Amino acid sequence: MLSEKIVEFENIACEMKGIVKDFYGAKANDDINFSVMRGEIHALLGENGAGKSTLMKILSGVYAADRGEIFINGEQVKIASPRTAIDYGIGMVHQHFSLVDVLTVTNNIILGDNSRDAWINEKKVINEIKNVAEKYGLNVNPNAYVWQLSLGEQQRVEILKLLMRGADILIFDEPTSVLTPQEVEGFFETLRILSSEGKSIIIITHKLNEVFNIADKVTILRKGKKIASVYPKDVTKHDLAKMMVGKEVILDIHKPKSNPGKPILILENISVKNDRGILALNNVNLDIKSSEILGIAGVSGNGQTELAEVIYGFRTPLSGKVIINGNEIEKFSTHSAITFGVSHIPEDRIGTGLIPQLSIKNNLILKDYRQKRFSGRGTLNSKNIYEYSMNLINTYNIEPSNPDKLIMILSGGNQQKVVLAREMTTDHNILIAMHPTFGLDVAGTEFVRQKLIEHCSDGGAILLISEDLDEIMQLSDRIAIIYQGEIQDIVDAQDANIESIGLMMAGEKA
Amino acid sequence: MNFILNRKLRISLIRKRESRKIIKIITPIISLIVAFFISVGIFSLAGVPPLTTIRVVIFGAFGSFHNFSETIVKMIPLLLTGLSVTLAFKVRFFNIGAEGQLIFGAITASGIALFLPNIFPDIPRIVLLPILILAGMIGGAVWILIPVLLKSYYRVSEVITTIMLNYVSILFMQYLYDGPWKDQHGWGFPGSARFVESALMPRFFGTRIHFTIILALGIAILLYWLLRNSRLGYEISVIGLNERAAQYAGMNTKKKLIIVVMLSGSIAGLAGVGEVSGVHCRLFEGLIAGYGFTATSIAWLARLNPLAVIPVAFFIAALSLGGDQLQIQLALPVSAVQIFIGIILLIILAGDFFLRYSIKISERE
Ligand SMILES: Nc1ncnc2c1ncn2[C@@H]1O[C@H](COP(=O)(O)OP(=O)(O)O)[C@@H](O)[C@H]1O
Ligand SMILES: [Mg+2]
Repeated sequence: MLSEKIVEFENIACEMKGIVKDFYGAKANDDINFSVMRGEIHALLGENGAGKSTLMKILSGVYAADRGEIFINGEQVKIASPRTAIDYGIGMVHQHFSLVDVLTVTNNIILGDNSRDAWINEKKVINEIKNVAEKYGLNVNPNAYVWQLSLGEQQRVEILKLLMRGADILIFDEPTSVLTPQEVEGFFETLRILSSEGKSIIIITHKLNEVFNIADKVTILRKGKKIASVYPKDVTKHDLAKMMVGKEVILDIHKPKSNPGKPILILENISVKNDRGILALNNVNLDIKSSEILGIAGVSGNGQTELAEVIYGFRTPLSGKVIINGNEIEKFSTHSAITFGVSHIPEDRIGTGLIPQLSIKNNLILKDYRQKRFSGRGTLNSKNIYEYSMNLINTYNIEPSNPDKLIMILSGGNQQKVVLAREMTTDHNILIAMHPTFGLDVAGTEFVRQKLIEHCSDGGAILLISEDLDEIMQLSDRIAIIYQGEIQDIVDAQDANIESIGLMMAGEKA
Repeated sequence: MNFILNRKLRISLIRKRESRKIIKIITPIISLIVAFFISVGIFSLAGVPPLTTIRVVIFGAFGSFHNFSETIVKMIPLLLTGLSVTLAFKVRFFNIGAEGQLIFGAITASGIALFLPNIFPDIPRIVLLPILILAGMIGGAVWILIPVLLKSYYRVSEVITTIMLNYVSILFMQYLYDGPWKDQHGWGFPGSARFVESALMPRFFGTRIHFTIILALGIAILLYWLLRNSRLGYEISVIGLNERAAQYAGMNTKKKLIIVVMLSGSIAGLAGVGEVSGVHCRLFEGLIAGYGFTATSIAWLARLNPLAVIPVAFFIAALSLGGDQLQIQLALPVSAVQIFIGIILLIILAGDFFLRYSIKISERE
């Protein structure tokens, strides 16, 4: 078996040489060489912005490279569009799925498949789907509508789509970020079957554990450049992290045990509808104490957004009470939430938390501009604003350290530091941190987590909502698991078991 | 942004880095000179010698103290409507209807001017004028209230409603001066009766330059200060740039939007007061001059900077008076004058565009 696989490795399925891609003067890919063998599972590792998606979009015909060559089975090819790519057997599952919500699984698979006759025998297609699905463990109902499916199921539809179009090289862009731990296991199993059949798999990730779990080989990108291609068995986790970040990093941060005090925020029987009029939260009861981080674990789209929105006053609940420091919120508006002392790191940093066209200082006073020290008698006090901003810039190491620079020129990490600085400094009782490290590099992630821990040690109450289960496990004192708008259970982080949390995230009550 | 030209070529617009200040100032001036020569060239095709065109235009705008003063008179409504559009745009409200608000402001002010003295015959100017001004500003604000309410509660596009209300206000004004407010001693001349002396703006230096110029310059300076240094200005910039962030910051965005847009309408309404009480001394059709569209160009050329609106409005006023002279002295048709102004605006806007973007034509794969 093993020797067979080694023989297969002699065969290069696809090779990219000297790939360059420039976005308005920024090199997203800078002279990258990359190759995949037949039957190989190849991980593409790098921090956010390293150029992983760009490289794979070039291979799958979404972008055209500025320079470089692509070889498939030894022959040079020009891949002008995703359609040419699939003709060469290359298919990609993007981070954001490209399915039509209102069509069934079968129709999504038929849609855009040019190899089929004009007259389509739907029964036959359904049978084909069932066969392929069974073979690769891609369990999904062909007659279901896509909007009825969970993200994990939608991902399976995407894979089916590629397989039924005859893809031999399958590319996945951060596929596990929408899956529960059990779903991840199932997905990896599918990958192993595919590779045993000689199909090549490229899996983009920034999670080190996944590399060791599934990959035969790993290529590391950093700032648009290729750093190395290595076999995971030859390296340690630290080696990979160092190649990925470019310097030594601390991988595990330690959260000291905290002593929660009295309850700060209490939610009683909260029910709320989402924008589509569907019940997004059903009878939710939660409480968060001082010096405590309560983590919400769940697959995205299970009511987390609405939970944050209710507490912050963006959304009015159908029923139930929100009580902060013993006082019930009566009017649900952002203004009243701010008066009650709710701080919020929103999930959508640029769209909600910041105004990119304004300066750092004008973003730092976004919550507090009404205060006398910043705008006494209706006039902005530029001296106080400047001093206040300088102070926060120094405390939070914001780069550049000039308060007049616009937010849009800051890196994602520094933008998040601005939000963090503002939300932690403004007078507040409770902090809602939603995906606080999403899209940040390793250093930025570490900084944000450290600050949250410090804040908690100083007596702060934090509601942490994140799709990153590792983050939830690392930072929380207690973990609430949410599924379809209901709290499945609340467990102590210390004796939490990732298996059982995973099951509850998928709706199976422990 | 990409445009696909044909199978082979693709045109992309690429945003440039911020240009240096000196280039930002020189570009419109060069565009202006180029535009001027192009239009002169076109007129010479029509048989007017180039030098004559230049002489007539410049003389028309600045050639005598009288001409210069008329340029200033023309500038006043342009300045005020330009400021009105600028302010509304700061909260992302496209007020194309400054003309409608100007006319409605003129109507309310005229109502006061025509009828209040009947009730209080001895009312002095110092009392009547402020009432007139206030009435006109309220008129402008009320007229824009309809579009802004429709926009904030029903998401109706203000571009359409403000334009449509232009025509409503024009027709309403015509109904008034042809009907109930018609001048009984006017020999059929379309217009209201002349206002009493105490309802007229003071004028300066024996010209038609009227007191409104001081109000207009004051408003330009005030707006400049307000937008940069006040709490309201801060809120305006946040709401205009990112409404969701404004809500997140606890601002009542609807209320603020309505207030700011009504302020914008009231500034255009003041322009109407100036026209009836400072220039024409009555309500009549001379108010219909396409101010709304010109004001939009002015606000844009001034890059939405209230202080820059002052020279731009002056420049457009000069062009328009110079253009009138082309018509009067050289007997060029009105359309020729409009072409003249159109070319100049177009080229200046193009210069401005290329200051910010460059065009790249590339081959498609
Ligand atoms: N369509 C695009 N337009 C402009 N810049 C882009 C575009 N796509 C990616 N980039 C830039 O290219 C760099 C690499 O991005 P990407 O390939 O998405 O990184 P990764 O997938 O490794 O996180 C980033 O700096 C990103 O901002
Ligand atoms: Mg990516």
